[in-house]
Amino acid sequence: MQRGNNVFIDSRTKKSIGLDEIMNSLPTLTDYGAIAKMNMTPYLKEDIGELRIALEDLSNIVKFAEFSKRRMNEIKGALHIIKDIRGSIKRLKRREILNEVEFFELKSQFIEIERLRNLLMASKEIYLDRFKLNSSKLEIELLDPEKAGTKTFYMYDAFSVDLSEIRKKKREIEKNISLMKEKLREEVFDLTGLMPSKSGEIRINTRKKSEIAKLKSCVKIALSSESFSVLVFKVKNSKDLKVLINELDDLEIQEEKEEFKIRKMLVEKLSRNVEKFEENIVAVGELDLFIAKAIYAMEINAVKPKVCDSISIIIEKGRHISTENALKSKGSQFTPVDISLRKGVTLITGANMGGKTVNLKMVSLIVALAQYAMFVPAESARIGLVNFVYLSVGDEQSEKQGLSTFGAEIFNLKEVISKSNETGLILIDEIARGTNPTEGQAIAKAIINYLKNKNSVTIITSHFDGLCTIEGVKHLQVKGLSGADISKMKSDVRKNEQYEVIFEKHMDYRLEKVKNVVFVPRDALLVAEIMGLNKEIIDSANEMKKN
Amino acid sequence: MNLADLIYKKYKIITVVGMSKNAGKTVTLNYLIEKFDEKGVVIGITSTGRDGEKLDVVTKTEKPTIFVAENTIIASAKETLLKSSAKLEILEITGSRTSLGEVVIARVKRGGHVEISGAETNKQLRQIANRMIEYGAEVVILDGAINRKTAAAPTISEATILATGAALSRNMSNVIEETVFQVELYSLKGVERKVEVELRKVFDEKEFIIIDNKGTRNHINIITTLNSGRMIGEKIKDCSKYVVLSGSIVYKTFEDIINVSENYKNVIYIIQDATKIFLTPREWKMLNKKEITIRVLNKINLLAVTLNPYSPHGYNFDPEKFLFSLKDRLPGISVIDVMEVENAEG
Repeated sequence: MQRGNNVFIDSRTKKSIGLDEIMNSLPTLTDYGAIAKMNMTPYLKEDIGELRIALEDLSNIVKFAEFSKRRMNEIKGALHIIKDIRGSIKRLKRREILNEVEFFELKSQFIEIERLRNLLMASKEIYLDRFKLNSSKLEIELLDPEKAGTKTFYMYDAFSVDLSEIRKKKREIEKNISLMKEKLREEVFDLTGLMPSKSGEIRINTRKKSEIAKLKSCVKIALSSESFSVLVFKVKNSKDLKVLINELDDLEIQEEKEEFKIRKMLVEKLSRNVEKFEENIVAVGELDLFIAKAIYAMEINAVKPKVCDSISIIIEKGRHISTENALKSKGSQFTPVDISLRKGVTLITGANMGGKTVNLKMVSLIVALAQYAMFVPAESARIGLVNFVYLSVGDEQSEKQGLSTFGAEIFNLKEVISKSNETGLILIDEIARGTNPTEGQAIAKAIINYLKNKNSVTIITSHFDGLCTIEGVKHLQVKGLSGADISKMKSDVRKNEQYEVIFEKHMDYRLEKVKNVVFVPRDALLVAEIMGLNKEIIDSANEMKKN
Repeated sequence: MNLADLIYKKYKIITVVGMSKNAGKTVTLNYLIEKFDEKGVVIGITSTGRDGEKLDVVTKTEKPTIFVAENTIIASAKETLLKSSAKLEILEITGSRTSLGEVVIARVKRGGHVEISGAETNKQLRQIANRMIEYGAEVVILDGAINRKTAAAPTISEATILATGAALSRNMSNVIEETVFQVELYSLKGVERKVEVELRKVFDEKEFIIIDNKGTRNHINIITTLNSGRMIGEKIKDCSKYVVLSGSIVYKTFEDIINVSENYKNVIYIIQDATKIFLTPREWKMLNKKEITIRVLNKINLLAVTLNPYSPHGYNFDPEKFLFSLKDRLPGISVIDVMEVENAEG
């Protein structure tokens, strides 16, 4: 069944929140798995039943990978060797006569998938419906008529009585021909004292007059080429030999005909079950993708999300993977964040450098991962399914060139506003930041008022004061630098430590619910001061702020 | 003692390189195949490019095809493999892609003529050669070429046979000069053992460095030796010992070095292997006269030179004269006339 569509999340957002990076990191082992990965579609609200099963299946694979390492490695090993032979399958489907290399591809894949099937049958806990493989025993037998049990392929004599008869005759004639040639060479030697080479040639220097006279008088050889220094004589084929060679040629034609007949018969028989092979390819791809998802989940310490029907999102200790990796590489760590969102608008305010943007990315990433049936980087997550994810963080390039920051924001907002009642996750960072504060604040207020009653979950971050008092809007604030050791931060900056590491150490990224707050926190100047902006400017700005 | 005896049980992977098209490489291959067949040795055959074609695409002359005996292991691109008259058991599709399809390894079930067109990189060639040994080949023969991407094939094999012949030039002394020059290149001395590991890293990183007599390394900031001779020369000091040059070298590089450096002849120039040298025999002589010393990281083990006195262009050299002249110029190296041997008298 075809689920989802391309508007669930656009490619720009996929890249911006780090979903692309995660998809690329999924360690699939086969081309079939890579195709399954490419064709992954999200589960939307109406697909909740299927999504629950998919997540449960993934959960089983994670458990299996944790507790049955040896068997998991065997399965991975069996997957690893499976090659992409869709080309040969397609030709088989069209009933084209395959060649030996293509039969080899089919045979070895049948054997490899059969082996995988046996492994899975011995691991019932993960041999789930979606991975069910059809047996290829009959096909393997068909392509292994001598029961050698190897992956190799040859136009075996055993394919038909005629073939083995023809080949037997050929071998006899070949033997006779070589005996006859040998005899002719010896006869020439007896007559001339010179032994022709295996290919029946005698090369002789033109200086050797007496030998040449002998060779020229010998009726069993003929001069085949001459140059100023060398003559080449060739042994003549006797009548009997010519007859044999002719017979051999005929047999070769017969053999080719017979082999063609056999190849046609094989294609005939195999093509009857081509759907079965195609189903196997899909199942192998699915298995590979699920294992990759499981391994990746374990790598990033992700959990199975609970998915539900309501319009709400609750994340405990959520992490944003690419930010976490970047911090780790600098010797720092990501502070996990709790967030609880319900239908309507949630406003987040707080310090600059307080992780607001990362939080938006974290929420959208976790929701998207859940709906792509993957585990999520959090301690727990309860996700009400949405039909689209929209994120505006100011790093977007407008598809329409020539639009300003504000122009691009409005261009994108237009569409999302129009579908805001269709259950989406709408995340807008620093709403209307690209224009004058008076009008910007007015536009922001109007948008919040519009979205607060829609069937979507919306988060808006802003530094505007006037938004805190809108009724029916949940207000969250980043705790920020209120408890931080400012002088220590400044000295760390002087010691040339990296800003993100310093802020990571001192900033309290946690979100707290606030009520009846009129003004947003005033941290911009403090942050600028810590980062070491010219003192004269800081002082002058502080002076103006007081007035 | 024939060529096969020189190889068997001593080397597992050998390369046959032709001085030019039609130089007699295929004759040498067929000669080896026949000799190993007589001894009952299972061989593996692959090539660095397309070979064994019925008609040589350049000169349109008929080339002898390779006839392989039962049990021989061959590795060739799918398209060429399927054209062979030998009956083959398909053993493995290697994953090495070429313009003629993936390289397939097969065992000959019944002898016949084959076309061989192998992998296009040295790494793949080496892997395929090793797989062929696993499938039972006692000796793997790489059909190499001088002017192709995989020119360094001699460096991945344990021994090399150089095939030369009348096809190279109408003038026999030219053929001899060119062959002697090639042999000199293939006989370049290797570097001292103790610096080998360190140098291997330099070549892996494609770097250019000068090492002085205390072992200190001085990086030369260039990406190729072409047009960089002056920069190299300026960095050669009294105390410099080795000049390590990644990539290829041409005559102009040395001309420029000599132009700016007094110490040019007091150092040893180290290159990756002999296939990286692009010089004419005359240029090579000049460098020798100017006392330039070149060493290689990967030594080529030249086992023998085979010759074919017949040219497909319709002329030939006096076989005996050709053989003796070449033997005279290459003391200590086995020189074999493959056409002569084929016609063993009595």
